[in-house]
Amino acid sequence: MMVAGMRPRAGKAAYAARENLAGWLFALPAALGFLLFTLGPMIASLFYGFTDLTISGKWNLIGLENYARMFSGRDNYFYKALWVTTQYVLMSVPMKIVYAFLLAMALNQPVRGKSVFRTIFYLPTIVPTVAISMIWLWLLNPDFGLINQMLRSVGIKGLKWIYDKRSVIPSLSLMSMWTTGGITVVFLAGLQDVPKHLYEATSLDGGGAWARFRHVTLPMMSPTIFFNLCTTLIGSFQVFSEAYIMTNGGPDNASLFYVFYLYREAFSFTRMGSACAIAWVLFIIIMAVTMLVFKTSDRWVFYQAGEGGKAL
Amino acid sequence: MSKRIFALLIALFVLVPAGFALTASAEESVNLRFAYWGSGAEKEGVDVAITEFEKANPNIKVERLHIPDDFVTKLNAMIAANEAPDVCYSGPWKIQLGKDGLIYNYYEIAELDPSISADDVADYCWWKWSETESAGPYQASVCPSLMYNVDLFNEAGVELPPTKAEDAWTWDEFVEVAQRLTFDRSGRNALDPAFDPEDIQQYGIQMSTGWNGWYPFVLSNGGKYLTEDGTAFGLNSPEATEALQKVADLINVYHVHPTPAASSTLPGTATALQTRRVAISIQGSWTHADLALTEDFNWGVGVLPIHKEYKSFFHGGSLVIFKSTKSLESALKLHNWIINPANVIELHKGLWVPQLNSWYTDPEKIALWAEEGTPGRPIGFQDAVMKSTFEHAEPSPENCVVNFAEIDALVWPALDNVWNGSMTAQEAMDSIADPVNALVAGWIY
Repeated sequence: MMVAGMRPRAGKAAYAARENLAGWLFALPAALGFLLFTLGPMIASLFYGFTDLTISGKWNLIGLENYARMFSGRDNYFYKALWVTTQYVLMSVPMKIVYAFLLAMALNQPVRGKSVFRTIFYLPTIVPTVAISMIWLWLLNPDFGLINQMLRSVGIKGLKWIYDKRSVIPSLSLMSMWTTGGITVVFLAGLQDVPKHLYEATSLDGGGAWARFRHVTLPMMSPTIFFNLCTTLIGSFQVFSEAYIMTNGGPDNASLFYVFYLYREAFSFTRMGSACAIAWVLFIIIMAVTMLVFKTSDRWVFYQAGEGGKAL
Repeated sequence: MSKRIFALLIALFVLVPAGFALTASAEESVNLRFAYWGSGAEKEGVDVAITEFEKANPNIKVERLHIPDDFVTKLNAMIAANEAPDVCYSGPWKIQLGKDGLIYNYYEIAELDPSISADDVADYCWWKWSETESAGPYQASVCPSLMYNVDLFNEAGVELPPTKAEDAWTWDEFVEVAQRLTFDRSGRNALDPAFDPEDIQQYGIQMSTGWNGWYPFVLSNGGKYLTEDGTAFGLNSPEATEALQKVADLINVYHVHPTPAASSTLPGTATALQTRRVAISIQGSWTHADLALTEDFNWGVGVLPIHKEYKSFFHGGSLVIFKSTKSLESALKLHNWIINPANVIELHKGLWVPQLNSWYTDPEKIALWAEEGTPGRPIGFQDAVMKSTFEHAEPSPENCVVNFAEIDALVWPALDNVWNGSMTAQEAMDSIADPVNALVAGWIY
């Protein structure tokens, strides 16, 4: 470091102290940001979850009442929202991961103009959710939407998509595949890190394309898959905009996503305290699910330099 | 030398601000903060009103906080930081602010500024959190309105909708008109046996499927949101469900109204009428402002169809005055200035209708906002919208049903099943009766 270089006579301890201080200073913005804007509000919301905080900032401690209201079923929407969101997570997460993985494999092929293809497939990710929702409202329109027209042209009677309780969640899951550009890019990066010599070795041993995929690509990619699985899981539990813009939680609450329900509790019904409690339940659920995924990870995630992991 | 300059500078620093302070205190200047949303014409109209207010009251400065998005979130933050505005727009959440004691009870302060007489405000135009406590009267009103494309009536050879409440269509007459104005892509109308409901080019009718769309017909059929004594849900009564079912039948039996899916991809009300996708719209009267924008578009207004009696209602938002204001008198003055139709008269020529009785009875005032033949007020407007609503107005459920927001949040998902034909209105309303009854806490007038 410059500072140290200019004062060669400074002792080792002083040097370490200065290094330490510099380190803390560099970390300070991030640490302060975390404390002030993340940890602080989190603790506040945990506290307010035990109050009847309203829109005007007045509150009384009411103990576990908010939680009791949710779990006892006196709240008309809690279990509904939980079930709807779980369905969405179970459906959309595997679809997104598999689709993005296959897409990344395709985009990793040495073809001409591959950067153009990569750009095209990434584009939907930078389109604002509002615009995406409007596009899909048109595509999924039962009467003259493109998707039903295509189905009709091959003789299939179209679906009602987001206008039917039974198909609204599958429709929104399908739509979510379109914006997986982010995880596709992570997969692409992962694929480029797979050592070429392993493929060569497999080929020399007489392994075909399947063997290369099964015994090289998949195990080498498992940390990337693991990472994408975690972030996608968390993101999917927090789905909101689609319900807010496209379905308003309908039809008949069939797309009443958990965060939409939380939003409505806070801003339509002005029960901020209850909304805080609702948020904490989601936090705990997401944490539990993520921990579950972590627990299972040592069975299927393989780290090249790691010790505990083993190949698939 | 430098000492002198120094002394001069000191003198400047001390004396100049003191001088400003002196002149300011002589005028007793007041600074108010006014928070509002709305875009386009509404923002413009309100801005003009504020500028005029500042001219009329030179000692009052109004800081404008235009918050088009996430208003509640931001207001919430301002309240938490002890920086609540003096006066602001408000949604139904104002009731909570009232209960928590953050805003003034208008009834208690009304006398401080006589520019708006509380007696001039119709009884049902108040946002209340108890019998004797109100956030204030409507800032302006809106009402359900039947609007139509004149050319489509003429081309189909259908007589134009009546404009007087006493001549209103019965529901059956209304359905028949809608059938004659609904066409499939082969040009057959909905009365034709070969009509193809899967391939509709022009719908006879489109209405709001929210409460402001169907509630006039529930009222007209003798139904109410709650039972008369206010102890139970009222929309599951036979009178109410019959009216709701008849709206659903427009979609699923007569195919004269778009399905919810088809509705979602139709353009906005004004454009749908102009582009001949819809012949009649029953929507909020604010649509008149959109229709006024196209000069050569030939549109008209009529009275609503009825079941038994003609019934309609006004609804509207209101402003609130925070108790944290440093100058209640000035804040109330600003409040009353903005809600006075005379000061926002341009907005009352289309977007809004007045909320004060005298603007419906005094011919001079009527001429200011309801002159027929102007862009936002077609011929027949005074009978079809102004009089018919004013003379047959019931309270809006949004104001007179305690816990309305939460009850409505149960009602509309259930009605989804009615509009898409998977349940009858009776089944759907019965299915939510228990949770609704748990929320019912009476009427408030």
